[in-house]
Amino acid sequence: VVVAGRKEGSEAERRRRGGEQVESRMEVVEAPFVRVPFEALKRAAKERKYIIEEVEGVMGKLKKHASSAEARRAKEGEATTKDGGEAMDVDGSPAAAATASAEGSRGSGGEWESELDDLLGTLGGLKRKLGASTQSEGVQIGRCKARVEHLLSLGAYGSERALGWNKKRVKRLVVDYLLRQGYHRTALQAVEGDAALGPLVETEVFRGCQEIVDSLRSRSVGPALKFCRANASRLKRIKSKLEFKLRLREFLTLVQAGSMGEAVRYAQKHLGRWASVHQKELQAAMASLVYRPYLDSGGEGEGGRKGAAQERYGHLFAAAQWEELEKIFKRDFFALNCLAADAELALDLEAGLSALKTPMSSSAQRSKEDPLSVEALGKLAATLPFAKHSKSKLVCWHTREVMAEPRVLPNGMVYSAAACELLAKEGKIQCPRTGDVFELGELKKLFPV
Amino acid sequence: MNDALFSAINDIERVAKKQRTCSEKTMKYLTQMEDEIKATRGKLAACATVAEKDELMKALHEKLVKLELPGQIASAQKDFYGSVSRLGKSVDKHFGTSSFASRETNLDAKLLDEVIANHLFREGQPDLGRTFCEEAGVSVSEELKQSFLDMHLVVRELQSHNLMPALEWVKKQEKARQGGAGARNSSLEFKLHSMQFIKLLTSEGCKPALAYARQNLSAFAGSHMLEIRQLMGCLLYHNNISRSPYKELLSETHWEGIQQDFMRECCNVMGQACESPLLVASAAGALAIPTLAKFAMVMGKKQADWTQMDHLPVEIELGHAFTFYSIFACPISRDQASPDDPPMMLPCGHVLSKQSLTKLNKSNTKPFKCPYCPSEQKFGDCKLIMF
Repeated sequence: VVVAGRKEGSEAERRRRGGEQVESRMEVVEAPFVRVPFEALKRAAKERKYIIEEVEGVMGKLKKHASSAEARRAKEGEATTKDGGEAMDVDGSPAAAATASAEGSRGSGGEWESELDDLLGTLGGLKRKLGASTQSEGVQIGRCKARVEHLLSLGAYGSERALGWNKKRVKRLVVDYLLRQGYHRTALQAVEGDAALGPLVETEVFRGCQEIVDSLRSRSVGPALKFCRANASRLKRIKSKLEFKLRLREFLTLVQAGSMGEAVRYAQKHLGRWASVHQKELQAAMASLVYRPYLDSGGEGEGGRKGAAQERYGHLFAAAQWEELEKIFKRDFFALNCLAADAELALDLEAGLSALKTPMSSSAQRSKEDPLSVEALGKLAATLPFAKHSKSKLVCWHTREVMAEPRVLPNGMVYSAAACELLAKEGKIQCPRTGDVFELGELKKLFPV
Repeated sequence: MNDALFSAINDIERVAKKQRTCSEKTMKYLTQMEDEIKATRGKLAACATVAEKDELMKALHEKLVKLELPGQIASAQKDFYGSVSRLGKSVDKHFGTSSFASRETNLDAKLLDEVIANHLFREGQPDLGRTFCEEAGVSVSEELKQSFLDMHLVVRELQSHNLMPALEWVKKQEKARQGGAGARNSSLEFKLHSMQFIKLLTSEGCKPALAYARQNLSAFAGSHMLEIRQLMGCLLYHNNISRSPYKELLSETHWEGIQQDFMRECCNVMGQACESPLLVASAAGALAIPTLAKFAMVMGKKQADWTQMDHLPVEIELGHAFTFYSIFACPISRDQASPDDPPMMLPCGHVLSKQSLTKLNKSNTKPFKCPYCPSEQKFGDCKLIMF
């Protein structure tokens, strides 16, 4: 009894430890989910710094006014004691003192009032900015909280509860995928239908992304360039090539249109600064200036230059380049916003299909419960690795239970002893898969281990 | 993990509090500043001489300096930033940075869209499904769409505690099955009948409930006698089941359970999987990813990405819910059985893969020995088996 108790204790402990270990590794999957609103919160919080600076600016102005008022008073005090004439302030600014006294004699109250009005205007603006800042911070804090609470509500994570656990998260995974693919109508409909989904997905962020992607698709680089300018320092930190690629694309578009002069001027203005960093690529593009006319020319003449031109520079003008540009933009955009590079749903599916893939999945005996038996999923899994199994795991086809005592029928089909008992009728047994009937006595014991 | 999440929530709440304080203070001081300036402005309009105006300006400045506005705001702000960075530290500590964040898959979007479309209809969101099909340009078979729609109609009735459509469905299945083979799912039918019994008992009383039981439950006497006895016991407490030993039978979980059971059976009859394939596959993935991520981390950049391999480099234990087939690993070769390399049974009852068997046979010309029991076997006596 003591031995049994100890064994059970260690088994339970191992299971608990195993469960904990698996739990703590869930972060690998869920990390970007919590991080995104937090990073947005940090950025929003930084805006406050500028508000303080401007407040200090206001104070500074007031101080200046106050001290010049003081100076003038002192000056005027002096003027009344001294006999008119030019008076030199202790600070030594005769011109200023002169104009001040001249204005003073005019009655300079007006200037104070307009100054104060200016300051009031500034303060009003600051208050508005503060309001906006507070609101956006509040939104991000709310999202952080909603997401952490969502993770808490998912509960324990482990193989026994995997399906129930996943059910709660699959909704947001699907909406996240929809947003990334640009299916905004569907995504919005989903979010409207389920209030809890809103804070869990990045609707606004992806909408902004989609606008720029759409502009790139219509061959316009303007919005993308605006994005680059707005985020110049952060893009530089991640060593982004985006701006360069965009400028290059515009240059090549000019070349393709045949406006060589404009193209050269454009290159001089915008591409110059990348000369050292992206030398090879730049040189290839510049060379296209020379070869561009040949790409159009009718025949093969001029020593096959068209062929050579096409081979070396044709690809620069291909439509695929715009798709490439879209990819680069998306990658950098996601990186800046701390978003994962690909949809979590896709990552899960890729790993899951592989972990489920067995040779049986594509055979005639495949089970309809196997996700890979669905045509689309099977095709997706075609290039993925098979799962690795170093141990046998036998499951009775009939009862779907772990195979306890296997029995084999004369036709080669194997069922557990319990299944055979269920299937037995009047000393005979009918194979559920083939329909053949055998005598119970024909069953043989099997030792697959 | 839960502790990490709870402490994260605490940190977030602290951030929220500090942010509120900071905003309020800043707004308060800005308003104060505004008010003072406005007041001075008003007075300026009133006074006549320059000297008075200068005096007012000086007074304003002194007053504002005394309030120490920037200092106050700055300290509230520091508090706020402090709480934000503390939250950041806790997020970093518990979530870390994952290499998976920069991972890109190469899944064909069109195929994935098909799967998602099916999933939406299956989960009872036909409007969303239709919008998606339009937007993504995929289609789902009308027949399948209709079957899922019908299924969810019954489920909605079950949600409002109406068992009749489900019972009708079961009767229809029974009739259709009279002809062919196939197991009768008595457990779903029995559950439906027993819940209807309880419902009648609580709403209409003993007599109707008993009549119902006689008509419908007697067929299950063989398989569900224990449950029937319990239900009969309820008759004693028909007035206040909620205070009887049977109060658990009234619980809402039964209603949720019956919806799940019905959906599974319905999908089964339709020839579809009982659970959404998208759900199952992504759940398997969520279980597999930590192991794969760890492997990638340990192996470093030298190892090719696991998607390029023939077999996964690590074994991933998914659990019973994800086991659809028997896995047979030959004890000799440690290879998985496949249609090209099926398991073979020796006359002595031991099992090897066909390839291992062939190898054993090749080495000697005379009958070879089984690796387990030293009995001699003939190659011809070995039989192909299927688990």
